[in-house]
Amino acid sequence: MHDALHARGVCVERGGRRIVRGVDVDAAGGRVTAILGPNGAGKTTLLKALLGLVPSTGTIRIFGWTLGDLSARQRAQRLAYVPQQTQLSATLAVRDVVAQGRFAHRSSLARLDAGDRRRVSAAMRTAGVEAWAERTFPSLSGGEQRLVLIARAVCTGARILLLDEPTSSLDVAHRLHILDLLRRLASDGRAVVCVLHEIDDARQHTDDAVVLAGGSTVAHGPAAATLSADLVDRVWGVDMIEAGGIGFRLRQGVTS
Amino acid sequence: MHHAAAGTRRIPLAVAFAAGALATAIAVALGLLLGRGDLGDPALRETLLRLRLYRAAVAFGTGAALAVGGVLVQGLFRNPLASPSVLGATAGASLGGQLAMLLVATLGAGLGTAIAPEMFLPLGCMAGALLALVVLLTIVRGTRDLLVLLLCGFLLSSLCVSIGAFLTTVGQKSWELGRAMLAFTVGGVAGAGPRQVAVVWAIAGIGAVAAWAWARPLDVMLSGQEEAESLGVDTRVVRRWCVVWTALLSAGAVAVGGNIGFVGLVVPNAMRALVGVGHRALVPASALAGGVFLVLCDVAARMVPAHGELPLGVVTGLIGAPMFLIMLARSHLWGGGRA
Repeated sequence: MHDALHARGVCVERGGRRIVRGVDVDAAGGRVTAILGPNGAGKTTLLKALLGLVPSTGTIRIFGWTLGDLSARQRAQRLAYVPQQTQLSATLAVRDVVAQGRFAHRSSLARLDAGDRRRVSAAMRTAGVEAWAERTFPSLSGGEQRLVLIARAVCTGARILLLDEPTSSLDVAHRLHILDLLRRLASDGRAVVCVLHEIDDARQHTDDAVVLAGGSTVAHGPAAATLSADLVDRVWGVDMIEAGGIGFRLRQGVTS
Repeated sequence: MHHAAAGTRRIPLAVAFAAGALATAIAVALGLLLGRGDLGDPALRETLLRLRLYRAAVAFGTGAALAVGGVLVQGLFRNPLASPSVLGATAGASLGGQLAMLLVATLGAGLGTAIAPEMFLPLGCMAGALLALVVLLTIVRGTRDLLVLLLCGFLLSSLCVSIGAFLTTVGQKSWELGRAMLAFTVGGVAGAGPRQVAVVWAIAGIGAVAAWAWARPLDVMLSGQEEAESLGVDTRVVRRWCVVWTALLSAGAVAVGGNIGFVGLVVPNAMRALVGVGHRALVPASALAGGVFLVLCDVAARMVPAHGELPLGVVTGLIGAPMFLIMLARSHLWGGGRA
């Protein structure tokens, strides 16, 4: 049985500098994997290497297929990406943004068929964005836009989702909605891999963690056990206080 | 109701194209009826109408080619301020045209009879645009960075303009050649014949169909290169072909109309405000509107009292620049978002 995503010794070099140094990542269906590390650790670059968006060395396998052997469309049918900051500023309707997720499933000349339209609607329902279907993308708040981009990723039908800091710059409600949504997407059998900055979010809401520093793996394993006070001290240079403080959770029955 | 094509439309597509067809009919009618020469004179009527029809047809094809080229290059760069000239194709075509004029003037009958003399200019423009394109693609081969492409296009354009200026200086040794090169530089469709009609309509038609075929990848590329690639778009292939079609469209337009500015910049932006940002609607809408715009500009060039005719490039500049400023102020450009 293959892991959904199996990467070994991934290295990325830019301008003669090695940004990612021999990192291993495994992501299985049904699990949420967090990639953490201080700023400049190489998290985003690693995520882009896993997507094939930046040249890398090492082995990356997607359901047993070597990433480099797959065409752009084949990759898009298996791997979906949610960027931290989208470049999309055109006045596209939310429904049309989500429908971009169907591009890899039909010829460039073909129109959306009834099956595509059903998948677009289903993806919008899953992410809770169907109420904004006819609104323009730029008119949404940052948190709402993030949900639309997740809906687009779901619409691709890919079984592996890679998200770059999906909760950054969001208020607490949007942050919790997105973390809850990621859990629901994984519970449907998808492998979810996300770059996170919040250590406590990773401990509470993800299953596995890969911790990077200086482009190398420092630790990996089950999130709660891996993200120990000792590791936090070593990697981030701060004390982790496990007692006291306040926390937030979604109200019962509230999804997105 | 579901939008079949990307983009929020301000007006229904059927209404937009009905309005486009009506505008085309009105523009062509004006192109036929207005101008110097008396249509009441039975001896002149047929000749005048035929000449004006050629002229309107060339203006329409040139406007359509320039506007579709604008749609492609703006979609490629995700920048409403981009125009075909940024790739160096327009300057390359212009340089090729100037070189062809010099060759014809210098060698004259020595060029042989295989090609009609009036076809040297269009062929020179094609050769110039394609050469500029090949140089550009060779320099940027292997890079995914659009900024590199943009800068190389700008440098190439500057080089072509400089060499073109030098050729124009050389051409001044003959009064007729110097005047012809100057007229070519400012642009115009006076004296158009059936060959020019055939050239520009073939290029505009094929280019518009090709641009329409790339509409879906261009729609997805509105999200930027990385997101488009993650969604399955082979951005290198899209970029290569869009560059080729932009160059050919620019060459076709320059070959028959000379240097005519602002059409590729203003028309696609105006159409985005009417039919939305989705390229499936934007390409045909811009082709129609670009054609109508240039036919009307040509009518204006004929009607404005001046010593002779006002150059078409001057008219498009006088109309296009303020229109563009108004649109900029209204922030219709891609929803007022980032360029």
